[in-house]
Amino acid sequence: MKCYSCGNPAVIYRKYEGRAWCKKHFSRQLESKIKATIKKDKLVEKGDKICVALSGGKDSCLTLYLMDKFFGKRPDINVFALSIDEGIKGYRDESIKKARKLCKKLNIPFHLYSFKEEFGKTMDEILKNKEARACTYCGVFRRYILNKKSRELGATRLATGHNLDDEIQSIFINNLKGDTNRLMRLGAKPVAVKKDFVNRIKPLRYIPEKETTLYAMLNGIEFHDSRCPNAEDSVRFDVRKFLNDMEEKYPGTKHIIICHFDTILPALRKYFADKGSVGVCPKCGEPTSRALCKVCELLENL
Amino acid sequence: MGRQKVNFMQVKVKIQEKIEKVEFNGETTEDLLKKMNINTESVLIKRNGKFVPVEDKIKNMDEIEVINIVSSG
Ligand code: SF4
Ligand SMILES: [Zn+2]
Ligand SMILES: [Zn+2]
Repeated sequence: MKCYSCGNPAVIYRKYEGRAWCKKHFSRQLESKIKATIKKDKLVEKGDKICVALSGGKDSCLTLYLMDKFFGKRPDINVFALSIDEGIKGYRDESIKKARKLCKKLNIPFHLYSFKEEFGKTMDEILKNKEARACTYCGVFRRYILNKKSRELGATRLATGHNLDDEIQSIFINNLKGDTNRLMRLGAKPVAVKKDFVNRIKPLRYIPEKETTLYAMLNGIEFHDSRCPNAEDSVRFDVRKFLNDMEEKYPGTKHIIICHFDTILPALRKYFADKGSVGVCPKCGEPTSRALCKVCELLENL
Repeated sequence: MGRQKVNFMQVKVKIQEKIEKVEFNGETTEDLLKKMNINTESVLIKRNGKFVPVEDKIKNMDEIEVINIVSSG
């Protein structure tokens, strides 16, 4: 197949769009698509300090790479990276090497925090004497550190690497679980600013996973690509397979899902106006809508 | 009733560090993936070392690399 723009050999054909693209035009196109998202949803504004949550996987590496490419030379905008070492041997140690390496290459400040330092235990240690579901602890603890540390480092934006596939999987999962609150938090725009919560942005939200991977590989972004040993074949796994089957059979499905979600989201948020007021956890002082924050609750169980 | 055109091919397929020879009946990588029961959305394809659309035609004895897209945690 030939590139729609220049006629050179194509690297990808987008069925949902009906066009093929060469490396150069695919990369350019992806970048302008992401720039347009940032502009339209005002993901980044003058004076912002963008903290990129960097796991070392393809999407977070790509997010950092592009934030640097777009804003690295702007004197009024700051970009830095934050990685979290959960303490999963053979997995996270490897991905952090990639994260550190990328920051060095791009000359971006790199900050590293660990479960061990923050909570006294590594993920491996938590799992040793516990019939715990790894991801329950891991996800809650990670989000806690990400928010707390990015705030302390002065971030006004916390950028994550969520791509189109991640997002629509979450939409489906929250529907399957009937979790309206979580569903409403999935928007493109930072949710209404609450004190002590750093605004999250997802610049890759409209880019299919296939394309984030292709861009990273074509543009020499080194990333870590193995699966966490604790990852289970969860609901997400089944939903991912289902949505990939649907996209293959009905090209464009993934985009339709997210566009439709964006259309109804304002109405959802209005109808289910956030009742939960945000208070402060009596134990650790972090923001929470519960009596004791989820982290402190989990820590008590350890 | 015309007979369906049969297009037998043999290609070298590299998948997860293993190389196997696959015989199949078709014209494109998409046909090959279908035969191998792999969803085209979950992989990227290199043909003779270069990224190509799955819809591209392949030739007898081509080297096809199937790269799994891993969701990052
Ligand atoms: S898969 Fe689960 S345990 Fe592994 S890094 Fe992700 S959240 Fe943590
Ligand atoms: Zn081109
Ligand atoms: Zn707490």
